[in-house]
Amino acid sequence: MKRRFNQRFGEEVNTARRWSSRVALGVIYLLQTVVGMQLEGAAHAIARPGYQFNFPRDYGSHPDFKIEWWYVTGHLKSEGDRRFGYQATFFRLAADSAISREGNPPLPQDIHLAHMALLDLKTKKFYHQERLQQSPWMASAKKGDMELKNGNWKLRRIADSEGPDFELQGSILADVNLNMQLSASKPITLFGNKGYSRKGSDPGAASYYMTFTRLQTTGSIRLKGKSLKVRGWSWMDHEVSSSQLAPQQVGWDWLSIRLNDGRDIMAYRMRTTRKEADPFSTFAWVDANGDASHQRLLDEMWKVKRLWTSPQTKNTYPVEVELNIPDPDSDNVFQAHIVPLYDGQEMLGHLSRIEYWEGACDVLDAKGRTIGEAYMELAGYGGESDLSALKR
Amino acid sequence: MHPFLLLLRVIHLRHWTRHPLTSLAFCGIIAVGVAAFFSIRLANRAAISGFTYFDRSLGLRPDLVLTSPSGQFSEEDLFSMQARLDATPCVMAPVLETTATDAAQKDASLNLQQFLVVGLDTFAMSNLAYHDPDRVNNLARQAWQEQPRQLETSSEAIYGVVISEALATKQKLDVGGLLEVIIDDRKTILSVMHITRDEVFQVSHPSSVLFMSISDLQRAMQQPKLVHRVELYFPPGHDKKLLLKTAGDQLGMDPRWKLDTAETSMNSNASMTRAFRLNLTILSMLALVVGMYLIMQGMDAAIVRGRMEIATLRSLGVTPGALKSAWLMESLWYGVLGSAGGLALGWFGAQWMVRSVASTVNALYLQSASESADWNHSEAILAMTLGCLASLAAGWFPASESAETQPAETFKRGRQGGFMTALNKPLWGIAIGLSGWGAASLPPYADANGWIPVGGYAAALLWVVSATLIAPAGLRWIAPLLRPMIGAHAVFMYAFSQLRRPTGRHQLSVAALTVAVGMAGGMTFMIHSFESTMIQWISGSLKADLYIACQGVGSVSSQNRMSRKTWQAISDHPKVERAEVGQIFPIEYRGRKTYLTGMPVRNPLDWEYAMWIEAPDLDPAALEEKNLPSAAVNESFQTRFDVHPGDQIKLPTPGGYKEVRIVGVFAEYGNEHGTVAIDRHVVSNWFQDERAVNIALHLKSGTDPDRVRNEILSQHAGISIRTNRALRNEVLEIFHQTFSVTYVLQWIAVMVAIAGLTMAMITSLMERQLEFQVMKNLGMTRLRMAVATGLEGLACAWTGFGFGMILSMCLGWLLVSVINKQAFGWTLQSAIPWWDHLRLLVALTLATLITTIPVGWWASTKRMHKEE
Repeated sequence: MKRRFNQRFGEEVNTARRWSSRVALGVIYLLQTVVGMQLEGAAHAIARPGYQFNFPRDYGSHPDFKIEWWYVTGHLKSEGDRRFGYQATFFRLAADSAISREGNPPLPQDIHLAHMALLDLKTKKFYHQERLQQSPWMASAKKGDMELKNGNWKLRRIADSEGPDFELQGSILADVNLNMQLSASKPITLFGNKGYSRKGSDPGAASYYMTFTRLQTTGSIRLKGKSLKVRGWSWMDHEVSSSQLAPQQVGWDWLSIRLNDGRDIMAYRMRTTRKEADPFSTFAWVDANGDASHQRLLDEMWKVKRLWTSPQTKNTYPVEVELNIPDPDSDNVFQAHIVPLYDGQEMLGHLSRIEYWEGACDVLDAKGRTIGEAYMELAGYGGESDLSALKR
Repeated sequence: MHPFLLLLRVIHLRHWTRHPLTSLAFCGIIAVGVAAFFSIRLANRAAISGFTYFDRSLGLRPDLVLTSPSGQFSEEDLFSMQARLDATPCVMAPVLETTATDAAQKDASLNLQQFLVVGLDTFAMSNLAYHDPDRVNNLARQAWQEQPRQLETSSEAIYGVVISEALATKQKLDVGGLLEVIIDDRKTILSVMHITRDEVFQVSHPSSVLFMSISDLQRAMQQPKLVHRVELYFPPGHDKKLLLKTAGDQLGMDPRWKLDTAETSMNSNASMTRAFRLNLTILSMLALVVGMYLIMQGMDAAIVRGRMEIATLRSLGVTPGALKSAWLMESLWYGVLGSAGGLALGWFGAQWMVRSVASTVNALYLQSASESADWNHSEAILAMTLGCLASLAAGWFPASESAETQPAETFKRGRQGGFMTALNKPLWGIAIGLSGWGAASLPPYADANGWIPVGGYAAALLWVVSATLIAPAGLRWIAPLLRPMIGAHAVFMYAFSQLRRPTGRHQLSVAALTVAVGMAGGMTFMIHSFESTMIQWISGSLKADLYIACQGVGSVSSQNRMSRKTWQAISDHPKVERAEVGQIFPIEYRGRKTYLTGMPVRNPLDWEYAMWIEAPDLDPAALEEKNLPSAAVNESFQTRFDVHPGDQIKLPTPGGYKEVRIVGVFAEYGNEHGTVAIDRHVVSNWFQDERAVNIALHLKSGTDPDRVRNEILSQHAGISIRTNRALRNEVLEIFHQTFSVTYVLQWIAVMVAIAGLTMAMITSLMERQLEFQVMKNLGMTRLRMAVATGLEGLACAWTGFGFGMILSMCLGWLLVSVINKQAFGWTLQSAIPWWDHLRLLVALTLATLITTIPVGWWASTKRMHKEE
């Protein structure tokens, strides 16, 4: 499985789309070669139960692992209640240690993929961009503390702050510029078994999974030349892995919910080739202390309410779902209706060729009242794509 | 019918239908002139655009380009740039370039066809997908049909490469195929990862350009941190202009790098070749200038022939203006049709010329990847306009003369005369010639890119005009001059009788020949002087027994270098007495490109290579005191930067600016951008680079150079070794190759002039049908009449040659002593190319006889009534 994972991942990342004309295609092929050489046959650490987390060390990069990502989503409002949704993801893909980082001259170091997106609900405009760089020239992920860079996109922990505070800087083409400070209002949550999160039957198919479910967010967005002050709430994941999906897993639906009552929910549904939820699909309630309680997510808990077909990729996504899960505080079934703020929140993946839907949603109760806000990720719905390598 | 249209029909349509060959010949002359100009312009343009192969091939042009005055960056500089850019989004793409030689090439000449290898940061470049998403989407979907291939990684020495369809076809390569090249002094195996397909109606990826991943190329070059330039691509969107401005401010005035836009970067490269291109363009107009004389002559003939009709029309009330317009309209038609033909001819010619021009550019300036010339509308319009204007200008004087001559005067003059007699003013010619001397002494026009010898060009033009006015008068002198030599034979008498009262056509033919011979001879003078100087320089400079360089290193554009390991091993050969290691680094001094070379000695006085123009007068104590390295500069450097012995200058290096003291000026003709030579050990230390561009071996006495050569070759692949004699021969071969276009243009001009002479003879003979009939009746045979015609033509040709020679001496002197000195900064010693002139005279004589004798034969067989 590991070999297949490596091969798939290599192909996906490497088949970064060509961006221009004839030679550009060749450039991409060169890229495939380099990445292919780096990812194929690598020997990396794997996530194991009982790992002792230590912060701020574990905010930072884990270069012994093959893949790692930091993922931030959030809902923002500017003056006049203009609503925005945003996403910023930083991936680090390890170079193949077998090929030699220390050679003379050494091969390029890690490869860094990143995504940035902004939804402007007022104009119904979805801005997004993807980045692919190699370290150390244009991208890097610091070991020991969170300090990530991919061109001018940066995510770092503000080291001298009192609590776990972070700073995010980003842009989308020459239309959007983001600058945000994120301040944790809940302690970090370690999902799975004290941070060890199984994703498949193979013991190695797992990750270390750390999350800040509630980050108070303030900052500014410069949109088409106009600056707006914004505030809201964000969610930040950090996962570290070397291999996590089983061959029969074809995609995933992932959901983060911040309820108005102060509780949070994380749920993911690993889809198999038989279009069922994999046994390792799960959901977790996060209490006020950041402690998570997991249960298996069953097919009947995740009901698709509406489909949307992308006019660009022709992929069909279940963009509206109903979640029915046990409520630990009341023994009742908690029902949440997840409704996207805007359907067209599709990441086109010009570089990674990974098409997926990642969007800001409202959370409604059975009576249609808004009870929270969510971000949902729907991956593996592209006909020709195999997304097993990337998160969720 | 409108009177003007009536005129066109009466005069010109009849002329075209009755003399279609003459009309076609006029068009042909214009076509050749326009073709020469157009092809050179396209070839020049292609050679320059070859510097920008990158954006042409990839379809996107960088917004900003960062280059280092020292010619190279290291990865540390990239971090500094990143830090400066901070929050400004852009794709920062480092680029590394080198040259490589096809290992399969058996030819070991200096000027081997080389590949230009471009190393790209493929990761960074892939981000441009978001700069042009619509196009990318479509292409990406198509591209997905092609299965990506994985490179065999069993050997680290195999690197992926993207090649052109042209190269794939030429070398029968497919994806996965292996291409063996020599990078520096090592064989490197490249695996074809992708073949870029040619596109119809577009200049395709040149076969000489190979694309690799920058990290692969760094490994292949064993230069792990080397970067030559950094290209910055800014994303599209609302704030793009703001981002560009911000980045400009952020990167700003840092001495470590120079910030250019893509255009200024290209112009900077293009400016390096400006003098060369300007000279070629001017030379390419030679055929058009000569053609103008011929059109003028043809129009004059037509007007003279139609003079009776013109006089009748004037008597019937047609205004001079209408007549003039009608004649000019005919000129314009010649211009339009001829130019159209010239554009087609020129485009084909450009495909051949571009290789020759690019090869010169490669040898003298920068690696240009051009292999074919692209059609260019603005150049086509320029050439067309020039052709039409030349034709109109040529028709102006005959048309004015025809319109302004009074009918009574016309009837009185009959068929003789022509406007040229009115321009036949040798005294005016002498006065204009003298003013040319004044122009030649003007200083050159200077701008940021160098100097343009405007005074020299003006003097050349004035002297050409002067020769035009003086030479026709010579026809009157040649008959009395020849008479004592040839006696009173009837054939000679008849032939030279025509020259005592030469027609305008005769005079114009002589003027055209004078100009063609003068300009071609002037160029030959300059080339010969250059060659003589080069030979002298080579004799003085090349004194070693063996010269060793990486394969294909024969020009300043070659970037292949020999590793220290290789040159050290060669230097340690037991038969080697002394080895001189040469290094060269392209740098930028005062904003202009130049070269820093490593001398094999510390004291310039000990440098055997140098032929001193200003010998070093060292003051060792002063140098020791200031601890400054001694530098010798070549003449071009001195001219370009106005520096002199004793001056202290600061040179850029990767470690910052270093001060040196100029102690001498030496002659060198390898490049026109200048060279600063400093002790090699100092230069190596500054650049942290001990690779050599070449190594000269002085062998122990009694050693057989060929034996040592073979021994070294058997131990080192990827290098070529030449004996002293072989190197000298190859240098001269390259020298001649760089002038190949010049030779072609010269011969075109001379051939056009000979064609003009033939046409003049045909026209003149057709006008003298009655005279021929009388001569026949008097018993003159056809052969004698043909010989008489030949002699008449020969007299014209020799007159043109004689005056052309005088003009060539003047122009040659101008080129050698004024234009070359001002444009390139080279002092050349004048040398008259007697042998070439003699060859030209023989060729001219033969060509004239071969063309005019049959014309005379043909004219004597024609019946009079056909014309009358």
